[in-house]
Amino acid sequence: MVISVSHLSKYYQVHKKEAGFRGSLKSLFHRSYYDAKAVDGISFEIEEGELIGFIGPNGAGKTTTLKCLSGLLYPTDGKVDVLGYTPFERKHAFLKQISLVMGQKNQLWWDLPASDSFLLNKEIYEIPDKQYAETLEELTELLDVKDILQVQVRKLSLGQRMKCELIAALIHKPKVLFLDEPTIGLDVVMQQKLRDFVKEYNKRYKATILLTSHYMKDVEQLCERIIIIDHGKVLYDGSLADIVKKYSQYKAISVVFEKSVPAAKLTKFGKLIELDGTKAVFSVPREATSQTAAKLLQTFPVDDLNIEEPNMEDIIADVFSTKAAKR
Amino acid sequence: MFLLQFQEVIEDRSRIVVWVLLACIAPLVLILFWRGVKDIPGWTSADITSYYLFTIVMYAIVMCHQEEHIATTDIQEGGLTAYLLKPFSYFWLTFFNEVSYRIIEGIVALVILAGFILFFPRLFSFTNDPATFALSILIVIVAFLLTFVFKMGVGMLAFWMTESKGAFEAVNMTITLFSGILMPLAFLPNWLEPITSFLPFSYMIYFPVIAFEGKLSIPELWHVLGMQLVWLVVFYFLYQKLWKEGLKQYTAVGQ
Repeated sequence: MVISVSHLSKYYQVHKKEAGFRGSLKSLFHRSYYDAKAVDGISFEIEEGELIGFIGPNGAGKTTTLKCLSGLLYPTDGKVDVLGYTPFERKHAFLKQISLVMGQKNQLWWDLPASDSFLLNKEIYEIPDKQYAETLEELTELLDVKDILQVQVRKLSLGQRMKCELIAALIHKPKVLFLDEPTIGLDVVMQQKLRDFVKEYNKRYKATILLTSHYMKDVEQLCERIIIIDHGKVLYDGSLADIVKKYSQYKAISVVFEKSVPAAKLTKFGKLIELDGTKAVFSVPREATSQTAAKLLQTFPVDDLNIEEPNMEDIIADVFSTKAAKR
Repeated sequence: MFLLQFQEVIEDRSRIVVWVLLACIAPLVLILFWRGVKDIPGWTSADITSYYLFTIVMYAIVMCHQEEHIATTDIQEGGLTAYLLKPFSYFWLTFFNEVSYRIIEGIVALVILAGFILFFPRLFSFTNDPATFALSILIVIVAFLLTFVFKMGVGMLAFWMTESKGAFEAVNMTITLFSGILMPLAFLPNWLEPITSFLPFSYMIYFPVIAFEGKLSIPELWHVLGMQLVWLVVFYFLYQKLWKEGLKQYTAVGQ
């Protein structure tokens, strides 16, 4: 077990300020605080080599959890164990084996070329020369940045900079990698390249990777197991495939008729969720899908008919609202 | 490690020149002021002039300023996060960075001083006793370490204060008052003497300067060194404590 989290909680003390000038004056003299529960008793365990997706809406506690796991934040409660260390103690031996990559965060020196920042990390992480050369070669190959290593970082494009930041974060070949919204702000091509890279890194080095993301594509392509977090609590921890099966009781049938059909005539076929001119979308229980599709084709002149899985966003949104309602 | 930090600092040359020039203005004004004052026992006109010029140099070499950067860029804006993730002491990283600045400012200030000494040798009085000189060098080095550790502790305050500028201003004013930058501490009223020789600030600038001027005997020099080391240890432990507690407060914002 590489990562073990038990009843982790992180509360922030936030002070309430009334709006406006009177509020400012008041807060000079008296401040009332309340606990913002960023993370509220979460537990999970991760084995070596797993690639796990942390999903949740903004403010769910994903980033806070990653920060607790990497030793940046002092937990309010609970136990965290990563690679046998307590992260907050920030022992050097621990820090040498992990890496936290947060989207746009800069660790490269602005005025010097990226290669200098890599050298700095080489010294800091005490990477032996041979290993450094090999890793640098592999990473620059994988990310295709060999020709920009000597360019001042401030002169690089966002995509190039991100690639270099990634190399700087991985040059010490960490065993555990925390990726916080790694594809945010990148164009579609870069996003795909990054996903491919992460997948390759996980496979090649058997690194344990935890990633948070808003983009379902990241999760779909990379993670077999996902942990869904909302309001600081774990809503679901399990395989991605299972959740798709479990929560997608319905399929979507989208039909384009030759001539528009009034809603009244369509409702008996299934739940009509969209009707726009000649296009109609039904939400139909799985088992009844082929039947309904056949009936539609028999009853009306149809131009086009599509049967679709509900998309990931809808499934996840459903999980939130179902579980949230239960609380 | 040190070389890499040094590289980063000397990238911005214009900034360094401006600092040094700014640092020269106040003492030059004071020299002109004191030239008008006559007859202070034990202090000739040459003594005063060389005092202020030495103070400029001492300030450039010894006085560290990392607390602003620590408070604003690192703690408040979350720059500290990148350092916390690395298996390298934040203390030593900051140290190497600050040493680079001190060396550069020191060299520039020394060059200017050398220029003055060359053209106005009669204005200067400093010791030519090798033992005193050697001890004075040691005192300067320890003075630098002392201000560094002190300012590290000051920087830590930003963990608890969202607006630390006020506190830093207060600290800098205290330093200006009690370290001899404004005027030689010997000019202050007598009842202040026990306070100034207890407080650490006089050991940052004042005593190193008069050590070089040859105004202290060997035993007195050792006493200065002793006081510096005591305060160094005190501030170091204070820093460690503030650092540990401060990290628990740190929220790693900025992302």
